[in-house]
Amino acid sequence: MKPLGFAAGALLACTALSVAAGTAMTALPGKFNSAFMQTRSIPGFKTPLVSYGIVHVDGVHGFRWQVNSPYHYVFLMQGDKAEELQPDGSVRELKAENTPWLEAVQHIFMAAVAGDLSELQNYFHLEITRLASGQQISMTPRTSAMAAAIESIQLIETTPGQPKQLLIREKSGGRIDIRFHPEKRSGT
Amino acid sequence: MPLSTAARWAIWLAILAAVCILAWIRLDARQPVNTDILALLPKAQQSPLIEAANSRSRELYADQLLILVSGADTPVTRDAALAAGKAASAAGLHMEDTGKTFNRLLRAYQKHHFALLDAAQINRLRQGGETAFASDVAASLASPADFAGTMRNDPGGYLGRYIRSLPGAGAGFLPDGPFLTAMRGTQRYYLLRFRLTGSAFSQGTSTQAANAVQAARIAADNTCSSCVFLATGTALYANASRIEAQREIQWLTLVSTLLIMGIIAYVFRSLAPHILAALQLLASVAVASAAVIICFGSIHILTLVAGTTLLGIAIDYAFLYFAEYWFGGDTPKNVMRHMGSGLYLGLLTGILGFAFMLFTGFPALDQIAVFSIAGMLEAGLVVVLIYPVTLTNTPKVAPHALVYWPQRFIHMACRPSRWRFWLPLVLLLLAMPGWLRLRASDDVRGLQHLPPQLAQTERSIHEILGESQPSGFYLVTAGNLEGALIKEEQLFSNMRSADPGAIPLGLSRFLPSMSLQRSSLAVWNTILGNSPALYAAFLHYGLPQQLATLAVNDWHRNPRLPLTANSVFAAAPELRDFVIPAGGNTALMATVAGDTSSLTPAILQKISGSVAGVSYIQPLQQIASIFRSIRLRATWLVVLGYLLISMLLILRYGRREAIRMLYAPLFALAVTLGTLGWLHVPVTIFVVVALILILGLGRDYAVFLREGGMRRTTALAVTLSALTTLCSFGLLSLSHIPALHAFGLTALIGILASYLSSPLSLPVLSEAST
Repeated sequence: MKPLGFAAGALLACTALSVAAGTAMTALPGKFNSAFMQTRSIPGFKTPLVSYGIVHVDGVHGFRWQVNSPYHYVFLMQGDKAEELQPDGSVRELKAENTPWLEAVQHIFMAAVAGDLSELQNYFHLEITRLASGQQISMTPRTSAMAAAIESIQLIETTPGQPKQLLIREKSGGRIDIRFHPEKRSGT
Repeated sequence: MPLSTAARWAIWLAILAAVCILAWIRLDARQPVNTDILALLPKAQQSPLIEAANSRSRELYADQLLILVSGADTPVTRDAALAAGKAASAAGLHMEDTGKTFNRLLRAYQKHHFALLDAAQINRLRQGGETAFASDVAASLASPADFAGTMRNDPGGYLGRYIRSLPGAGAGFLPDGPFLTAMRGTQRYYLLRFRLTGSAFSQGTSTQAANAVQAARIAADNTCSSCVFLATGTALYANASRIEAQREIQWLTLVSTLLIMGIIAYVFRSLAPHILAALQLLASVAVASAAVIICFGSIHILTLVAGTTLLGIAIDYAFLYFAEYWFGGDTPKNVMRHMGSGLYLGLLTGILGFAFMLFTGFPALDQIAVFSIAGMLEAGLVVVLIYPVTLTNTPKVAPHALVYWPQRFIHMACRPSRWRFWLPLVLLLLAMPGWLRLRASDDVRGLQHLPPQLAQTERSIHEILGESQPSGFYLVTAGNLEGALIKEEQLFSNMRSADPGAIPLGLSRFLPSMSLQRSSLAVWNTILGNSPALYAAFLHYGLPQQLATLAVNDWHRNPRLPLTANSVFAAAPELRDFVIPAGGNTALMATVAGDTSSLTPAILQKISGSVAGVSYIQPLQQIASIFRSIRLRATWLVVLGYLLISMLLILRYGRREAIRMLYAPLFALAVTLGTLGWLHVPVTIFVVVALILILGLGRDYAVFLREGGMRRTTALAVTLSALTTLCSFGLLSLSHIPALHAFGLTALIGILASYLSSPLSLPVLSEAST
């Protein structure tokens, strides 16, 4: 039986988006605990959507992305498995079959935790600009599928391994701006 | 009235020309030499539907070619993949553009996204209503794996999940322009898929594919010398097999011919037998090949290679004539009188033996039988028509040691001695444990020679793609497409229950059944048709009302129609390959993708039993089953043929003599089988064919010796026949093609045993005679 060629293509731009998102999220130091404020600007919407939460990253427990306000939501990823705790309390397991990007995300994630930006070069063109305090890493996708969804990703670090801001510009006009700050100050 | 010299030549040339012209007319110019081993299998004795599905499955697998380019540097590796793709396309291969197909399919899905909820999502929204939908939207907005822009077209991320759930060509491979790409460790991989323009087994297409791959390899290497280039496809195997077979034919023919010429030169010490033997051999092979083409349109490579062994059989009649002419002591015009009866009887029993192969129902044996019968007839014709008018002068070669030696051997073996009883008995006792070690094998894969390097490359590619070849495929049959899709969805659901990691692959993964799509539309109608409840649910999670309005407006603007098969097929014509024409019914092919190692054939078979109208087809198992039945049938036909020949011999020689004549070949057969058992050579259909030949040759020796008595010319002819046949068959045992190797090895052992036991077919000499 022929494995249909285009079927792999059906992983689609949104998969690529997910890879990019994971990439961005995992561009974090070896161990990272922080609060965040996420601002999502949807094309055609005047008012952006703002949410607050915490993010925990380490090599043992994996990646935990938790939104606390305006509703409760948790995204957990460890190894090649991921699951979501949805606002209505239901749990959704992300099957490896449906999320082939998980492996890629996890791979990049661990590289990022180890502070190895060279791994990201396989996915993005990197441009590093020195700032007065810290540095800005600009990423543009290498593959056309990813490029069809993502314009650019900017990561601003105060020092290497201490991200301050993550800005994702989408081709659709959408924009995700995540600002990190120490957890104790989050108030969430 | 005896024929004149001119008449004899005219008759012979007219027959030769007629056969060749007829073959030229019948020749399939597209594929004069066939390399497809499966083409030698009989037409399956099964329903036309299963046959069509088997054929489709085989075509889809055989007509594709994969190239994988990998390297550590992504941009350079991509350039190398592009260069490889261009080079292969320029060399005539058709590269599949995954990206374009996908974009067309995506547009179809976007237009009908409300119809694409799966059963679990339908249940969730049916039970949770507006709250569940609002929760999904909120999760999408919060998830690090979703983007802001998708909110406009896909609130809740349902379409995204549907798309992500589609089966892929390899785990983690994403579209990138015309390629699929993935990272594995530090390596970036680009997968290029090509479709052949003709049959992978035809010489033209397989050569074109091999040349295109070579051009692609050079182009990739010129662009990125550190990149790794891998390619696999049936056409590459077919090309390698054909080159290997051609090489084997060349050296087998050359060495066989040189050996035979050496023997002729040493024994007859004259140029005439070389010329006449060469004439007979060339004419035999030409007529044999032409006869096969007349009957089958083309000749299989295996028949051609096996046909080289005809060099050893066809020349037997020439040896019989030469021995009598050179060393018979009579005048040339009396040669036919001395050896004619042996020749005709040998020819008759030989043709009878091969004719039974025509009843096995096995195209491979049909071709070999036609080849052998036609070749033998032509060989006999040359001896009867041409030799008497070319060998007219009395030879002046004196008999020498080699001329006397065979007669001495026969004489010695026929002396009254207890060894004549004990030696065969000891050999039989030694052979017996070998019989117990014999095992049959009907696996077609064991008959083919797969170049190790190509096989290793194929394994590497499948490993990188995370695939393993399933043992078969499902055939889902129903009255119409809708019925088949519903059954397939049920089948896939059962498959996931049996193994949650299973990745079912079938049309329903790309085109949900109308029934499921209508349920999806109905649940959306309930949720998006009740605006106040929807707004309240969005408000509950702090989501802006504008988001709910967006979804409601999208619902009202949408045609709210199910996705049709026509629109899916228009976007992705390849998906039609899943559908098999089934008269008034519809049949769908389905399988499991990815790593299928945990799904044993028994489990897959059991799953098929859970849904009516679904069957699990295992082509290789079917082929093995066909091989088994043919092997058994061939064995019984040999027994039947032997009984018929026995009756013929009884009629001519009487019961007592006939039994003695049949004893020697049967003894040789028993020893051969025992030796094969000791050597752990499995009994395949080709071993059975070799055993048929052994019986035939052993019987010939018995007939020649019985007809010729203790004449030195008969003993010499039988010895020369055995020597030359051993040379040609023995060489086949060196073949890399497992089928021919087993054939040659069996024949080598069998002919040796047949020759050494041939004196047993003669009566014991009296004391006075010795």
